[in-house]
Amino acid sequence: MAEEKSQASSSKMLTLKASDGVLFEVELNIAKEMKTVQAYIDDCEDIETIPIPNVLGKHLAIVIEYIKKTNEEYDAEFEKQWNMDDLQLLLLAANYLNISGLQECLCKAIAKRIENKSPEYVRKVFNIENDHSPEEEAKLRKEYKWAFEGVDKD
Amino acid sequence: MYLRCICSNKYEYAIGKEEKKCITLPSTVVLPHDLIVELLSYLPVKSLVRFRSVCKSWKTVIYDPTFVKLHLKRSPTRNPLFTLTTYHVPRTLGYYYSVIPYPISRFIENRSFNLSVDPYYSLEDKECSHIVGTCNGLICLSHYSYIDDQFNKEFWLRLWNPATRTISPQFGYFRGFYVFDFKFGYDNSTGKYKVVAFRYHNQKSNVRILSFGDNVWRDIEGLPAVPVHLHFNYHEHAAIGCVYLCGSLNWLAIHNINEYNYKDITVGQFLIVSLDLGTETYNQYMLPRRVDGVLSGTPTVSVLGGCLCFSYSYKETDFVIWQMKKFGVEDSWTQFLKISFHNLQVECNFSKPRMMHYFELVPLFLSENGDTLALTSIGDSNAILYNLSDNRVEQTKFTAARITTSGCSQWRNQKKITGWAAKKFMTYNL
Repeated sequence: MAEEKSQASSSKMLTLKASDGVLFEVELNIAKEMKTVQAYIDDCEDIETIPIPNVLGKHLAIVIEYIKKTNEEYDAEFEKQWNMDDLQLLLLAANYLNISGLQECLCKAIAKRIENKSPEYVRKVFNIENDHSPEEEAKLRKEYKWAFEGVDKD
Repeated sequence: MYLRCICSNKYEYAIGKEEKKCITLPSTVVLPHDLIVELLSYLPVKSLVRFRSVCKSWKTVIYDPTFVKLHLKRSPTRNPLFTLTTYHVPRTLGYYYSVIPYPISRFIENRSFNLSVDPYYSLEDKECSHIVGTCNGLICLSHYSYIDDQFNKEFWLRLWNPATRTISPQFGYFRGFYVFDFKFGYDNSTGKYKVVAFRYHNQKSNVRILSFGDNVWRDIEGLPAVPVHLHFNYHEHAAIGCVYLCGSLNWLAIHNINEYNYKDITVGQFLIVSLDLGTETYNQYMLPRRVDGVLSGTPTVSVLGGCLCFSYSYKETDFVIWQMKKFGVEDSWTQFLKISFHNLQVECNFSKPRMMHYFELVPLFLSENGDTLALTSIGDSNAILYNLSDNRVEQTKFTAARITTSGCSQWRNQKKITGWAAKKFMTYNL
């Protein structure tokens, strides 16, 4: 059962504006979990609307919910809902907003999803070009054949 | 546009129906390098070995020593294993052991199981007869051969990384008389793996040290006190007399062996001699002063929950474990457990010759949550699991499949040791 973070510290509200213009009204103590936002507040005390230019509204909503609800059980279920692209975009958002707990949770989730996959799958997921020569790649596969056993079919 | 934060799992925008469609697009997301590195650090070793072929920059990251250190730091969060060694009859005389890495969590859940031994883990094709120790997932092996009929031997070592399936060539050759024991550890200050060879004979000790990489043995000062277990020639159980912890090797010792009488020993006679692998000098630590009464048999040292432990039999009825909560701080000795042998369902026969000299019950490890303690009796092939919260005791039962020693794998030459630790390995002979 998720527990809402206590609102005892402050009922002051802040508005966060996502890159696509979506606005979110959040309590100050929730916003402070994003160290980037905290730095913004420290610089300009009277600010009411903080721009978050790197994060889409869709992802900011997810991030805010994570902060409100996070605990071990929630973390375990949290990552299951999102596809690979969303997980990566959420990771970028968590990194930009500087929320270390969420960043770790997402890294672990993505790692878990690719753990048993082939290099081809991984290249597609992360949009990586294979710059190994065919000989180099063949050599690596031959030398470490055992590491390629039992891998999920693409 | 919404003005308020939407507090539910399903977010909805009343912008357009298109948002609700599920579209799979080819990935256009490109993660920056530092996030890729962080991601990779959470992967198990087998995946990392495979992903070297993804692209050149991933291969460079995976080989980078800084990344190796980061990955090692993360490893306690992964599934910790311990290693069982099985004794079997090999084709070639002298190589009797195989190693079986086994997850601690699975071991605690399932006490009876059949182990099948992967032929890769046999020591036979590595041409080593002994396991010196394990540290950060690396296993140090040793072997020797007789050079004459006067008990002079030539010793050597090999360093094995089962997770990456790489093994070093033989190194650290030296010639010595009588029996040398070896211990393996990691020096945090220099990031070097070191092997310590020590010999105790005629109340004198010789100690020499080798850093992996330098491969030169250096003689250092002998032990400042008598290592008790060596005095009684229990070399095959050197594990109970000396343990590695926090960059140091720690022996259970006694100052004056001539005053030692196994019939009425007290804790006050013992001390811990600790060799700091960084400075290569010794420290001495007293044992808990609050223990009174006579011990039965020589105590043992072990490591539980990352702390140095001291365990013994009290008045032949109880098994006691003390933990040094803060390493090196004598005041931090805390009694961890006192339980009767009866409650442990263990029969200790103190008239047995071995029990007179050293006490056989040895703590193996503590589960991650600190709830379950695993113990074994030296020479026994089973373990006892004691649950600290509900006082339940269970005996384990292993049966290891007989190894077929056909198909020795090819000898590997000149492999680079990357020093990864996929899992925490602890070796015990069970």
